[in-house]
Amino acid sequence: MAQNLEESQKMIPVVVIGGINVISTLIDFGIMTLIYLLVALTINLEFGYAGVPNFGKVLFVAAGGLFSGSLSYYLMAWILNIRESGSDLLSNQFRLHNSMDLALNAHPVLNLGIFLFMIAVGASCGAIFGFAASYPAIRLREDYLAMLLLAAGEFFLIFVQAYSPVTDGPDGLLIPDVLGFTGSILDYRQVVLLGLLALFTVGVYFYAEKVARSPLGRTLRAVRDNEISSAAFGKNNVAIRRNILIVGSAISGIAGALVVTQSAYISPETFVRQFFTLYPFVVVILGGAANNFGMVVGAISFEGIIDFVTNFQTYAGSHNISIPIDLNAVTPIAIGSLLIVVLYFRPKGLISEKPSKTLKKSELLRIKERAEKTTESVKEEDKKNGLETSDATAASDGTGG
Amino acid sequence: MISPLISQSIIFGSLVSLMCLGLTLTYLTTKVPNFAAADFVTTGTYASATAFILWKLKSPYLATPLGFLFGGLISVLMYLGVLRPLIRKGSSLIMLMVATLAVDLIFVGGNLLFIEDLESWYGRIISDRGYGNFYTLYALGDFKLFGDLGMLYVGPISVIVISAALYLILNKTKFGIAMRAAIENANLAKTVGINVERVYVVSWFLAGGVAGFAGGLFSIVYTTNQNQASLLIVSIFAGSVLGGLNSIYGAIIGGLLIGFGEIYITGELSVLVGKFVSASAGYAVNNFQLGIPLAIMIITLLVAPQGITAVGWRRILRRAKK
Repeated sequence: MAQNLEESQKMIPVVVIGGINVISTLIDFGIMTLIYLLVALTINLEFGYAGVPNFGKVLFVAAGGLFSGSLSYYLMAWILNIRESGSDLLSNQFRLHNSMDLALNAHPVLNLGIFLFMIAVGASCGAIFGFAASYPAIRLREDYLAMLLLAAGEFFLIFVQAYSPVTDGPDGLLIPDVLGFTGSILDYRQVVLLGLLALFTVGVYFYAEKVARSPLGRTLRAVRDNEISSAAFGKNNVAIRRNILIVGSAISGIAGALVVTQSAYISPETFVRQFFTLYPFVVVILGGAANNFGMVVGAISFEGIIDFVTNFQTYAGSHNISIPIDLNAVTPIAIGSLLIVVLYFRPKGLISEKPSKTLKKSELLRIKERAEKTTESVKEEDKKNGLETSDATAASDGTGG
Repeated sequence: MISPLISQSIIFGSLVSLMCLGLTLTYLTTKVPNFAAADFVTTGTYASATAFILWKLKSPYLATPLGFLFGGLISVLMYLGVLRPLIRKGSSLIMLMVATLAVDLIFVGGNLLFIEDLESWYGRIISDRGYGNFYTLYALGDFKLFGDLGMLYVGPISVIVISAALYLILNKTKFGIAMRAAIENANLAKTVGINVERVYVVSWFLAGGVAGFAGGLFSIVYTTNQNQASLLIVSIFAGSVLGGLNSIYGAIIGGLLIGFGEIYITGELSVLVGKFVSASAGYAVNNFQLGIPLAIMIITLLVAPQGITAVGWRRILRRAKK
């Protein structure tokens, strides 16, 4: 243990300013920002581009996280040849998860396999729930849809609390720790998690960006902006909405699976509406809907505000400054008020939606150059012929030709 | 003496019915589903429960008007402070829904702050008088009438009185007719000189007030906590959707059916499962209570999206007779 501590000090320098461990704070900041960003990107796909207000986001994140966690537990028990009945498996979790962690540490391939299994389960659970939710959802008006999804999310969390095989009820379940190879060095573990999250988030970001720029992205916007005209152009609105809900939910499921690897512990309280529906929505509105880069800006500024409040608390604590009110309660109030202010003054967010770029920048420049050239040549021809034409007609001639 | 299951179902049904009435009244005026609707209930609960305990009132029922008042005030504050500016700015429906979610978030923090303060000031009084603490407030206790809980009578009677009062206001007074006109067509109402804004403010006050009053009654028979809102919102949405969201009387009936069904079906199911599977499995059924309003909501939306009041019951009955 002492050796480990020394190691950790060697690996991750500790810089303390005003009672705050700067580097570990930054790592935590990165982790939370990436989690919110990942979920916000899926909301952006569904709500920003396709106009499906998924107010039950917590349902899909929780489904991915809780099922991937508990199924990995059962899978490990099966691999380790532990043949006990379901309730015994759960009640002996403290003993069993130790042997699971030992096995995972001994076999790196198994460790990787379990991690990939969790991601796969997260994605497929998210997709299945997304498909199930899409059946009533795509047929409804947006306000009914929002109410239904929100209610479904609330029910799911209560369902998990009551249905013990998932997380052993409200007690929670210690799941196999796929980040166990980092040992007892807490910061190292966080760095690894940060890397994993960054990997997935960057992937999802580029996927979302590709969707936004592709013909599919323009179809999504068409469905969002005018259902009737998109149907008139032969687009299947219902199928498009269903597919985007499935894709968005699958990615949310992956986000859930990544969240549970952090603490290697799942309980119904891991996922609450406030953190996995409301906060990502704040990120989307703050950054600007239908704009992937806006999500990055939104997530960073949102988590910046939250972290500022928590660190202020630590700072005050270390300097014996007493704060008359509870900052944990102030955070939601501040975030809610901020959201309303943004909705009023900047309803399009910090960075508003831009027309989609369908061509590469170099190609656009080339076209522009050619258009200018032809305009000039037409003008010169006109001069030669002694004709006096206005610039406007010349320009339109040029682009036309 | 009525069987406890039915009595519980009636009590819960009438309380949910009042809450649904609150949601529907706000939906009628602004056409936005209010995701903070259940928070008005919590406000009413804490306002009346605190008054009852601190002022040593003779009966918790005496404090419920305070729930009405506070619920109404909070509701008007929300309308004037959040929704009206956004509506004037021309925000889309989704943006307005997000705004009500933001208000819900403010309530999450606000309740916590408020409850923490109350707990630090009066916590000892609460626990000394046997009401737990502000985080988990025990039921305030009801009087007995003919061997039943008083709420079994007070609940349905309040529903009847409030709906009768609403009927009279809406149909017999000048203000009520103006209100109906403003709800039906705001622009046309404006052209004939109706002050639509005032009508909206009054309906939001009534909506929040009824919800707060229901919250006050709720605290008499149920143990409450600060997370109560997020559980109740499912039943409230389900009841309002069942009622069609566009009809006051639909909301009352829808809420009654949802609340009654939620308790009654769960109770019957738990007995049934207990008989066939095991007693503990039967007991566990109670935990899935919220599945019933959700299921009813989904079925309503798929079968009769306009709600039960819009269904042509007479035609169906006639067909059934043939």
